[in-house]
Amino acid sequence: MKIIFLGHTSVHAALIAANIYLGKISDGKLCMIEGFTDMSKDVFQPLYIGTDAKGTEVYTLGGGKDLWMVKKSIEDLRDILGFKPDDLIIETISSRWDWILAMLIKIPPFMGGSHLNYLASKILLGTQVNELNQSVAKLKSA
Amino acid sequence: MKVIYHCYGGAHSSVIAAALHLKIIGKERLPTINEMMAIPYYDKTVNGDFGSIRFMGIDDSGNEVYVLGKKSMGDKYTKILMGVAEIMGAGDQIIAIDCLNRVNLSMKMGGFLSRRIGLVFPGRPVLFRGTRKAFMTLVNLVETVRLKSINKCR
Repeated sequence: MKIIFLGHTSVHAALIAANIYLGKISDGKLCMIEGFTDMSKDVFQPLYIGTDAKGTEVYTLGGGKDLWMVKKSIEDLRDILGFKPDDLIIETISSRWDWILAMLIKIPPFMGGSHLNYLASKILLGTQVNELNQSVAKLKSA
Repeated sequence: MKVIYHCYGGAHSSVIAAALHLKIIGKERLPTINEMMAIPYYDKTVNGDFGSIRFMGIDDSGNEVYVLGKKSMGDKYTKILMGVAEIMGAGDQIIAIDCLNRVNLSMKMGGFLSRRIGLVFPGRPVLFRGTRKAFMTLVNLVETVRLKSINKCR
């Protein structure tokens, strides 16, 4: 089985959720997450994060602002390729700060965009860890 | 093999490309208004169709042809679809083609008026004109894709 955490980008909230799922985050320390806010990894392709004890491969994917549309397309693609819903689960991850982070990632690195992106993401998404924990717990129990 | 043509709304350029691929319309001459309107999904989609991969038919090589509307996501959508297919071990089973770069201003305006605002008139006449104008570039695109699908099948 494979799980894709689909977020606005593959390196913000979706990456946190994927790491929570894999049990890689302790004490909510977002700075310890490998690749956190690293936009060079957000290339509109599934980003492999790891495999859990049950052999489930976990990925993140950045789908822009219309996550419902991307989710629908991936589910349709899974079906036409002949896979079952359990073979590939797509979990949409959004946070209330996505719109701010979407603006910050547009600031070029030479204008300090990377630092702003990192600092703002760490602070803003830090407030969302509990909600992300709940989303992941819900997914695990389903 | 699955061939997915995608454009903004999955209602115009991708549908014409799929119809050409499936030989629903011929490539030798420009299609008439009635011929275009007879193509399934042509200028008939609604907002809820965004993101749905819709089946158009099976070509003479046995490839399944689909259309998809992905808003303004451009070629990023090709990467997403191909990337997902690859992690599922089916990367060689799909070809995703962005038709949006073959769309001219008349098609954009006509499509916007007809589908987005719901002004079928004057949207459709502008759209038909644009579609006929872009027709040969879509023929070109489809011929490239057909060759690609044949090569991938081998």
